[in-house]
Amino acid sequence: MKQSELYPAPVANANRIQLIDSIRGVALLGILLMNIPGFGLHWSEFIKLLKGPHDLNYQVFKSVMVIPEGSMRGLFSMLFGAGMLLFMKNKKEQGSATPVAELYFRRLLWLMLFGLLNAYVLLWNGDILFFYAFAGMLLFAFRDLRPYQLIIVALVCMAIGMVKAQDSFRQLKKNRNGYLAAQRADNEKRARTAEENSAYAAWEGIQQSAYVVDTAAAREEIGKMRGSYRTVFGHLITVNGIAMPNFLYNNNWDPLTMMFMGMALFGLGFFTNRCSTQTYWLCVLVGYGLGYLISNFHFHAVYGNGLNIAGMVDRFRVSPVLLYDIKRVLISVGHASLIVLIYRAGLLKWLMKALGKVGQMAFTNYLMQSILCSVYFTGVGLGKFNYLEFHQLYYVVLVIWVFQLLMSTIWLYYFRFGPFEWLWRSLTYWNIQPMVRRRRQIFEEVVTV
Amino acid sequence: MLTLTGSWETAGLGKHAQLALAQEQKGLDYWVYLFSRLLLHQKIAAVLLLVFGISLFKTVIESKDKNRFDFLLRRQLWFLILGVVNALIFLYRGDLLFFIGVLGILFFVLARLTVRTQLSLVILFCLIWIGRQYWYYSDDRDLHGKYAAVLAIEKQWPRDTAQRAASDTLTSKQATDKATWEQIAQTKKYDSAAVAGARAAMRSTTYSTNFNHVLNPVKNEQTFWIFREGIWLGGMMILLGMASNQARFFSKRFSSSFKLIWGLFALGTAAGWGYLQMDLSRMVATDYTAYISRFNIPANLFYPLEIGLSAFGWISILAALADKIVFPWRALTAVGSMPLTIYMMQCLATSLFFSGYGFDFYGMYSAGGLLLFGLELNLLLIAFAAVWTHYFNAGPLEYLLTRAITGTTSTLIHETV
Repeated sequence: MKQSELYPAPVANANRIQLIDSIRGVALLGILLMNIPGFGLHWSEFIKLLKGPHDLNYQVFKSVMVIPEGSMRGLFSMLFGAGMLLFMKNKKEQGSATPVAELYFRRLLWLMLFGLLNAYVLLWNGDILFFYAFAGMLLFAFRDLRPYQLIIVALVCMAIGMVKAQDSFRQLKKNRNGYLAAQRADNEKRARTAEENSAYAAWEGIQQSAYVVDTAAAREEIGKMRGSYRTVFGHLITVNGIAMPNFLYNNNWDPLTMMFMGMALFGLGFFTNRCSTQTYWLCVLVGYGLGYLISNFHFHAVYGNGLNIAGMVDRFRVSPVLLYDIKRVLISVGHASLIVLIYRAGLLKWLMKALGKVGQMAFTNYLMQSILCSVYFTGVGLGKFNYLEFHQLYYVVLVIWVFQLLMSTIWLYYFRFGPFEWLWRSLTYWNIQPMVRRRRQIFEEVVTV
Repeated sequence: MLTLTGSWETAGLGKHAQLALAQEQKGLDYWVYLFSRLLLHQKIAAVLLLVFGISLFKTVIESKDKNRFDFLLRRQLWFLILGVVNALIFLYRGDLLFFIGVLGILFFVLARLTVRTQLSLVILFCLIWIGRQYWYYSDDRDLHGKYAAVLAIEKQWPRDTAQRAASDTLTSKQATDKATWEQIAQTKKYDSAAVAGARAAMRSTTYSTNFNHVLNPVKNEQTFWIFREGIWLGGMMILLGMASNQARFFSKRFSSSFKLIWGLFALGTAAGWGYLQMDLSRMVATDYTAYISRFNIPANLFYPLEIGLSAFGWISILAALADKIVFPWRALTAVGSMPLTIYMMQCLATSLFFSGYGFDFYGMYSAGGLLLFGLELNLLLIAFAAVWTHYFNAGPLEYLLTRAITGTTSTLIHETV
């Protein structure tokens, strides 16, 4: 037996599933639609936007929130779950000396470190790699479940997330009711109870902290984001230090739900083009049709009405936020089905291929989005943070999309992996992986084309 | 031993009550507190983590079971669930299961590394923890600098407020800088209102009031503390356990007297350092402004070294004694053979005894009383474990957990019985 056969190795190019790469490519590019406001705008701009006139910025915001928001990340999470099963399957077939579980966890530990690098060093405080790595570790114990069992696990995760969201809403409602009671007490000129007092203060705090713009504080934060690397780093270290553990503990049900769903769909052959055309059409119609309706309602309930939180709390008994998970599952499945149908029909072959290349080096492209946006928006580079209007951010998105589509295609023409994929794999296998493609391989590909 | 100090928070001897004790510096309670703080508090938890590291190493490297990774991961998931139950249903403060669940998932894969790499990681983790503390302290120093600048401006004004000019007022930024620091300095002090508030909430006979009081601190422990500090401290101890097992430090490779001397030296050094650190912490609690003006480094900067040395010292001493003495270990082995059951029983008993929904003794015992409570509970648990293991093969929770993890059923009752 050759020495190389003793050690596990990454999956060969020929064994890749082109369709999965194309779907991943769409998801990866789509994620930037939601991330770009985080890169380029201060959060106070959203309050201004939602409380302002329904102009072009508002319409673009609404379009992004209704369709791609949550669903592109959902699609990415689904493919992460499916990718985990693929990884385990490939390694099992190779019969490697190192236990598959160890490789898998090593891979995720490195991913976790890359997530921290992305958040702290590359200055992206909306990183998902860190959370994916932890969620991925939890998936391992469920990998042998059948698809329908995985769907049940996904639904349980979704339900836990919903219960937590409803509990937050209940707390909000309790404070609101206490606030109203305190107001009534004031009107009736009677003394407030201690509970009414604390609810009054809590409600005022909620409105002040989340829904009223502190212009001076906003200006200071914008100044920091346009400052030197050290200033941005120092500012984001506090932001990440709060956001990361908070999301990990309270909101990791979000990626987990979609990852389990992805594992189930992979088991059913959904991502490998094995379902019938009718099934995919049905998923497109139900996913987009129902998903759009729910998403539209969700948008108006949560963001409509000029971001009137009091109106929302008074109007609903159950939190409308609960609809978020339902709509994103539906729309994500709709996206995936549509891509499969396009792929199956042989339409837009060049685009599907280019998307496949983007998906094949998704890790590099994801980190590259952070690098490009950090350079463009923060003071490290051009310092355009909070400079563009909301709709203008999407010109930047378009440029990055074109760049990544071209760059991925050219890069993979000469190299076997994206640079970060190569680094990740080399670290996982603790062995430098071959990077450059041989001339013969390139020649064969040219002949095939 | 975990019972002796692990129950403090649940029993009402929380951070503020401990501050008050540390400042008294006299009386039996102070001496009990001092003894516990230097030798037991968080050190025994570190011992547990070190042993957990050894067990992870044995599972990953030495076990030949092909399903070992599945079983390990399932067990860790159960630990997460049991940790949440322990903290949010039993209302036990200071739960370790959730923490161990997270650490096991993250670090089991490091068992494969060489001793040198593991020890290098121990040093790295220790440095990260120290670096973070230093970072936080530097932030505080910056804030203190702003506060000092505001004070310097105020000093220039006439003392008599009536004689001050209209311009002798602070800008809103200066006022914020001053208030921010004063608030930080206040949080370091003993807060009698916080103690009274906690007592009122935990002595309420309504479970939901007890629960609401516990909820946020538990969430903070399970999120921010683990993320910012726990991962590094816990990871350090687990890696130390793995490395020492690989180096066969606690085996017969070294003589009992060597282990005993080394253990006493490590424990003594850690206790000595802890005593010095306690003195500095007392200064922080008395007047943080004075401390920060005087010192460039935080009081707890070398805390990981203290607990690392303590844990290593404890295990070395226990390993040395185990080589020589036989009798008391049999009873302790019974406890050690059903650790999950014993731990959950400790937590439930403590919570039931002290919380308002139970016997309502919250805040009634000081350090001496809690030490007695811990000793008495330990005696009961040892007796229970000895009787149980006489009739059964495994503790009840261990039996259920094994069944849940492996899906197989084994005989619970001893065949001889």
